[in-house]
Amino acid sequence: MRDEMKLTMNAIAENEYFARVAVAAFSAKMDPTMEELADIKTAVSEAVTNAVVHGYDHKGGILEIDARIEDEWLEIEIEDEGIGIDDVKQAMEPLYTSRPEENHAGMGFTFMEAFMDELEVVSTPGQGTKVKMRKKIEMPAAVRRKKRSIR
Amino acid sequence: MEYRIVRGILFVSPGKEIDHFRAERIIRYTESLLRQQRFRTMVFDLADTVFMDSAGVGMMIGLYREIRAWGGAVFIIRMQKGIRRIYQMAGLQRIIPSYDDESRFMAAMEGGGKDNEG
Repeated sequence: MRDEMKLTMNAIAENEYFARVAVAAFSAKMDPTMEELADIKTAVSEAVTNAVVHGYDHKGGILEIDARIEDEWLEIEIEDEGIGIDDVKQAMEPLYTSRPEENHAGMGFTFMEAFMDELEVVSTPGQGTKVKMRKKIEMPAAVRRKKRSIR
Repeated sequence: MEYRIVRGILFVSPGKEIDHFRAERIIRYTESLLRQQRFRTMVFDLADTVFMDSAGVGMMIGLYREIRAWGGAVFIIRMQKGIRRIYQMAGLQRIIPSYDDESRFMAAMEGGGKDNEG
């Protein structure tokens, strides 16, 4: 199965809910488990929050979400044109936060890594950040067999 | 978001989803409540909460720090399975103990005594 969805929205806090629910709804056709669905929602929420808070410093800006299904893989790209990250490696360290005075756990990338199978972060200071995540959603064996017999 | 006060304990029900947008609001309201009334014990009642990301973790740690300033403590009750995963991954159990139900929590509070906090 191949499918794709693109969403462009304003990177504001109010849209965090919409973004994760939209991607979760798109991935529903892969028949994910409740846990996989929660994983996807959390990972999307983390990436979008980073764009809202760090990329655009709460001022809003263009946020592009591209979700693709390629057979058993769900691929999600979340891209902003914000301030970018100087040191991606440091930003991805557990508990690191560039704003210790605010109430941030510093676990955004840690959760993305934990809940998705692959995570790649590409950032250019002054130009923006792109987060690419992939997750394998395996169909239960019983469903696979059934689908084959229908064909 | 809902608050109730039972025997001097502040219960906070953060609502269905705790993300960055919701967490900021909850922090703002709860911080001012805590500062005004100096509760010694605060409880997150997560019975209705089905989603929480790292912003929710940040919220809990931030409010924990707030109440610790005057020696208060924070607890969680009625946490659902999906949230427990986040709770454990973030290591929150080290600072915020969790109880499955409210009566068990209240019994533990009375058994331990309010001033017995150690």
